[in-house]
Amino acid sequence: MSDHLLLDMADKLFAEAPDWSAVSDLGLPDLLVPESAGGFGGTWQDAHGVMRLTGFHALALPLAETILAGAILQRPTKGRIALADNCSGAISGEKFSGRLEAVAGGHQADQILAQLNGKIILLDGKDITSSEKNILLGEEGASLEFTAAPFEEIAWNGDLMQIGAIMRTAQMAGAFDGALQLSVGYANDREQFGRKLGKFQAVQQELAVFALEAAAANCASIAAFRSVAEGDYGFEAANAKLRCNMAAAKATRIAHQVHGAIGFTKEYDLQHFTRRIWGWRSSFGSEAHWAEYLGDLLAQMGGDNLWSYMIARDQAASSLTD
Amino acid sequence: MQSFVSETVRYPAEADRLRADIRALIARFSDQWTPRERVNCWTNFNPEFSRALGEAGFIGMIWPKQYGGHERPVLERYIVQEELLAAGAPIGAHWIADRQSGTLILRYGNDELRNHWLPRIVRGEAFACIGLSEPNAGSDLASVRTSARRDGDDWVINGQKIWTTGAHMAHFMIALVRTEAGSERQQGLSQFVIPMDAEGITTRPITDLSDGKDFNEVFFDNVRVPAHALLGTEGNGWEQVTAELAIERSGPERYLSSYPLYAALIDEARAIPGLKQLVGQLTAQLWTLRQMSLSVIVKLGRGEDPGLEAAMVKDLGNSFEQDIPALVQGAMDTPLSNSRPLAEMLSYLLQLAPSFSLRGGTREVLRGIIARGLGLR
Repeated sequence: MSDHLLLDMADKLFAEAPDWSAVSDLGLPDLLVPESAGGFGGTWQDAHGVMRLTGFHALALPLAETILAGAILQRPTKGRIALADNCSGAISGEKFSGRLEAVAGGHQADQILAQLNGKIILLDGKDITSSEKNILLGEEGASLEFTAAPFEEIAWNGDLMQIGAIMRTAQMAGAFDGALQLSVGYANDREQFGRKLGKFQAVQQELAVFALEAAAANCASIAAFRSVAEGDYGFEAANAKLRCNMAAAKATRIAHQVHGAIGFTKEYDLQHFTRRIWGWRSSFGSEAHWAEYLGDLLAQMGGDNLWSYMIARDQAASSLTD
Repeated sequence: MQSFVSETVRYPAEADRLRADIRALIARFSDQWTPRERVNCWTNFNPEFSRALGEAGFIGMIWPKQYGGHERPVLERYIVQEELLAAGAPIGAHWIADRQSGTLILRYGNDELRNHWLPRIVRGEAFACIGLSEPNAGSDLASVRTSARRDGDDWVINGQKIWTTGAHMAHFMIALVRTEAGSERQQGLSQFVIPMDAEGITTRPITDLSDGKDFNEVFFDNVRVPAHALLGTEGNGWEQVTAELAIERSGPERYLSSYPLYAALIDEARAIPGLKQLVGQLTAQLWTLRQMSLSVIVKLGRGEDPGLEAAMVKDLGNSFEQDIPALVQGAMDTPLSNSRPLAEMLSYLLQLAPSFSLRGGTREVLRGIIARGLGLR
């Protein structure tokens, strides 16, 4: 299936707030599972497009997470899989006891994938001993506890933090564009002082800043996905997630300011975007996390070497694209 | 809605060799460049270095061989540009001619203009300046008043341009002037290629706040140019200048002016761990801007007009290069003396930075373009 068809299909489906069975019927959860293993056999570029659309439509399903889990598991997924980026606890006698903080989609997950001391473990949702809804994510995020829960150890030699960060950039990029579209539409519709809001230069300049941040996030995200095929993507994950995170505060501030009081209501759609953006900003690495990662890397490398390092990586990723 | 459609870059097979070649040429000269000269390097005049670049085939890279050009892909030219900028090379002498003036002559010029100017530009021997701003036409460019009137086969030009970078060293100017008496705004405008040694031109330097003497006032007092000095079509000046501005705004120089200071900051972060956060944040912006800038180049290479995307990259890029000196100053406790390269670059950039979001289209003008692109107004 061409990129275009896949994304058109996902775009139409997500606009209707589908349930899990509707996205499963199309095979989307197994987008990154190889065809030979019974999956969809999509590329990372396809995954970027679909994950971005989950953000663009503020889809209330852990689809991006399940797609990524499929890439790690390399076999068809069974139900909704959430991803934990903050896992504390211990493994004892092949059982896991511990806590997973602020797991997006955690309350509705059939399985949860987490990384503990370098090990990737797959937990079953029915073994959750207690679940606490998060203030920010409301119905869509929870902190989960497990006591002596069985798990499956997954053989995978990647870094969940890095690949999870790349996934979040696509969702954030989509959510920025979704909130931008809503904000521009509102500014072109709402009248005050006898004029559309969008006619005021002050509003135009603010929305232009919003568009700039959204554009940067979108460009950073696709570039990070291009690097995944290269297999070594820490630098790109760090740059892209950090740039998307840096866009988050400015973009959401402007989206809400343009909307005025209506945007602050539960009923209006803006909060579906902005609450997710705030949640994703802290998920799989904050600015502090990735800036420290990059700062360490570059300080070791030295200012004279950054340029050739960045260029060489970009040319390597580009040669793999197609 | 998609705020930015990112294009995938396919590097040419020659990319590695090309980078090695340009880096080798840079290495032959770079000992001579002071830290201060390395920042904002694309306004730094060094005719000797420009000639060396010309000799090596790094000017007019994408132009036809017929005019001395090298018929290389747009992306190869970009590679050379970004390597020069990252190294802080003094490329100011030929930069404007190579980037936009020669490109305009190639696109709109008659044979006489092409045959005369393009080979000289390619050799690094002819430098250009931009004749747009006037005392009462800054951001509001359509207010230009400088005029050209027909007199027999010639045109006679009267008026004044201002903020003209490099006018005192340039060999020619491409000027936007009013050719239709009584016309208003975007109507009745045309472009001319004016030799700077023409009789009746007076150039007067304007000293900037850093004591730099890059820009000038240029006065035209009955300056007579032949008919073939008219660039493109009479009355088509506004359309041509819009294309010129898109070219002017699309390059990597719009985010790399402060790059050498940022590279110096990275070295400081080894000894001062508190700087790592800032280094990381700047790196994420730089890396992203480069991706955006490449995307614009891919579109240009396909012959598209990415005016909106170019405005976005320029605005974000200008804010980035403008923020760097202020952020470095805030993050470091270093005296602003000339005793070390970082302090020298910082002292200089703090003064230059305000111009970054003015030259080539102000931040407010660019955001107006972006707002229109969003469907506002």
